Amino acid sequence: MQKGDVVKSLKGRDQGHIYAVIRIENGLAYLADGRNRTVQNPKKKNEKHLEVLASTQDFVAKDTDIRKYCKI
Amino acid sequence: MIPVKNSRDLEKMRKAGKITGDVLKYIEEFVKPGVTTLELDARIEEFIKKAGAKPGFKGLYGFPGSACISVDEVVVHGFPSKRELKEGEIVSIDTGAIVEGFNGDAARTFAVGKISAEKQRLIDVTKQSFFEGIKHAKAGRRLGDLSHAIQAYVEAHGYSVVRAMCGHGIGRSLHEDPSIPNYGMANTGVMLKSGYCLAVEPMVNEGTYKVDIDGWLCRTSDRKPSAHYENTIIVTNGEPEIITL
Repeated sequence: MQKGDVVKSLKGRDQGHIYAVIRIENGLAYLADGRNRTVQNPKKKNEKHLEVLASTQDFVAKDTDIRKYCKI
Repeated sequence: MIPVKNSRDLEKMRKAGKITGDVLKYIEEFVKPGVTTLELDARIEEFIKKAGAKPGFKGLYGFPGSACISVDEVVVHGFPSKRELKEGEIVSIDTGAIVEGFNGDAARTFAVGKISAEKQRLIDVTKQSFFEGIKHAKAGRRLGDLSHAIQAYVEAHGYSVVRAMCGHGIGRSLHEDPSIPNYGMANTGVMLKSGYCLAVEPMVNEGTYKVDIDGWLCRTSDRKPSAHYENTIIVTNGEPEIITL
């Protein structure tokens, strides 16, 4: 898993929710969906609780772009 | 955005790929002078359905057949018709099957009866260019490495790669990101990741790389023959897995 991947939550109350990975630190993925969770206020989740659905190239962490990716 | 397939998706891709590969092995014995391309298409459709899959091409973007059947100077997208194959021609058959929502896609170029040594060489170089390209289809490599390898091999043998058409990602849709040109510069383009599914398909012309596209029909501009070879692969951290062979 790496920055720019589009992922689905597998565990937790947000199960099924789609996010973009904006960074990874110490096994935790920092996620944003551009709406409820923005680049400024990302959600932290264990990588193990996420499934990679797609990857993007030349990813730039902007809420407007992330909203489009998460429409997958 | 390039879909990454999980293990469940990849199992379905493998099933679709196997049927696609098998139908192309099956159809080869029926490629003979006098057979119409419509008959070949009907056999391909019957085989795919009997195997429990759906023909992936039929109805897609309005295409009427289950296979693109392209003779001599027709590069791709030949419509099945009452046209009879003639001794000495080469025919490219491109088809796909859908299993549980996932697509396989593959193509082969066959000889109709006895063909010239030059046409046989074109077929052989086209096929080998695919294998030269996928040597670079590994996680961490760039798509340009694959594209460049295909172009370099083809041009070293005096042929040209079609530029107007290219390979593609594949999965739930027949055509997904990324586009996979058969030419390009090494160390450029998308970085490959494990779990990507790609349909790599060199289209190689005996003469110019230029093509004329008229609606569906794509023919070489100089009307010299063209060959096509395609397989669906799964990118891994090691050697790619070819699922349509």
